[in-house]
Amino acid sequence: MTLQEYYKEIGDYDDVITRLMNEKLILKFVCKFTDDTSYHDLKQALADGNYADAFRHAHTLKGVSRNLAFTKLFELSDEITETLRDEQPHDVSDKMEQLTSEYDKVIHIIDQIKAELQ
Amino acid sequence: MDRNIIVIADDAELNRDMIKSIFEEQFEIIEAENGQEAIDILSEIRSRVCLLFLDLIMPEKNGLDVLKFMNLNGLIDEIPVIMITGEATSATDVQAYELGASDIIYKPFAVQVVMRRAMNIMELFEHRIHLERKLAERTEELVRSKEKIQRSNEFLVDALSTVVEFRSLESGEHILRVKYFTKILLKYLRNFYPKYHITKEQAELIVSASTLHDIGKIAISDSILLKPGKLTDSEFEEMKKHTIYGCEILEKFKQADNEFYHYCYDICRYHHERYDGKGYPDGLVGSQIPIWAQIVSIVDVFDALVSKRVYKIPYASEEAYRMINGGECGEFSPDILDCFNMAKSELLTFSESESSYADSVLK
Repeated sequence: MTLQEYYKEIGDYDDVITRLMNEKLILKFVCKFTDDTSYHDLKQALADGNYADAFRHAHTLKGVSRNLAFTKLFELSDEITETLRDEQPHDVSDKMEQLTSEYDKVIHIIDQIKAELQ
Repeated sequence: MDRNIIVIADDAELNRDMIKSIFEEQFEIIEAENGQEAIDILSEIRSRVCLLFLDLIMPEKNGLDVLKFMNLNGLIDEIPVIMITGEATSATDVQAYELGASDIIYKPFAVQVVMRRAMNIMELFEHRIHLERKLAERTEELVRSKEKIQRSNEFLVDALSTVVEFRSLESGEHILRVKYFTKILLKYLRNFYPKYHITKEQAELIVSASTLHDIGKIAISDSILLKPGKLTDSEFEEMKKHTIYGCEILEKFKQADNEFYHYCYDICRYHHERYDGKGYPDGLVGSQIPIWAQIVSIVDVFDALVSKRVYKIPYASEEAYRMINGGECGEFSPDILDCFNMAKSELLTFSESESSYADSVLK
């Protein structure tokens, strides 16, 4: 499968190619996404009840996923970011569940991309 | 180019990498993971940084904190800042612009756009810094040549005044003292009597003009000017005319639109007027006498009292103060007397040290 075909599963290829201009570059950044810790940091901060940190990590995840045009991941992290913006305790467990399943999916696809294209 | 480092401050490595990929061929890139790191890096290599990409939300000091820091130490004028933000809240945007950010780029960003904007902003900054440097050099040149002209002017005015002084068989020290005393009194007047609205520049012109107060004496005949004894009434009437003669000389090269000319004219004509109208040549009263003429007037009297003249021995400075305050030398305005008394210690120090010097020159 091509990168474009893989992207159908997780995001908006047209958007990302328009912005980054270069498929190799997209591939490089997509593969790097597995090293980004913001999802795990967000989970940890919520577990610790540290909502200020949780907001920041959700915000980081939102920025990164938006830059890579991971549409669903961006939308979910955006919702969580907005819920946590006041840095006060909020129940985001439903959203986190959705986020986790989307995150796992993205990672799974990237693993496939790495295996086939890198 | 010695400024070739781009600093990228963002807590997400992936975001830093994206920006880095745009510039790493042409520039040296230094990355900061948080606000504090950005501050440390900027402090260390400030002169080599040509651009800062700054994320808004970061741990350990956020983007706005970094901007505030840059404002405190002037970095904001040296290094252009492009904010990179995922926020679409205009409140922080306004704050960032107010703190001196050059531009704001929103995530997700397009590399071409980031590159074009960054290049434009760097060019603009380089250009501005270049222009400011040029302007500073030019300003310095102007200041230098202005100083040169001022010094030449001062030299000519002093020389002219001293010609008159020499004809009176005096040393020329009187001119220097009048000038110095005028300067001191003006200092007190400007500080304690702002109602006269004398600016620093005006004060300098008045000081310079003060040296010409007796220029009319050049037209007084030797028999009167150099007479050692007391003048007769008619001789004194002629002597008084030096105020008018001075103005006649000045009018021959009148510059009506020149402030300096008017100070010279007023001081020549009115430096023997008195506050109660008993002076000469016009018998002006009170505030009819320009304040600059009033200052030169008291200064002239004081110096005449404490210095040696062909017709008299000098009074002690304390005695001179007593006489002037007691109205023995005519009446002066309360404001002028107040300044004169406040300036006492400065005038005494100078007149005592300088008059002894003047005496030694005369011998």
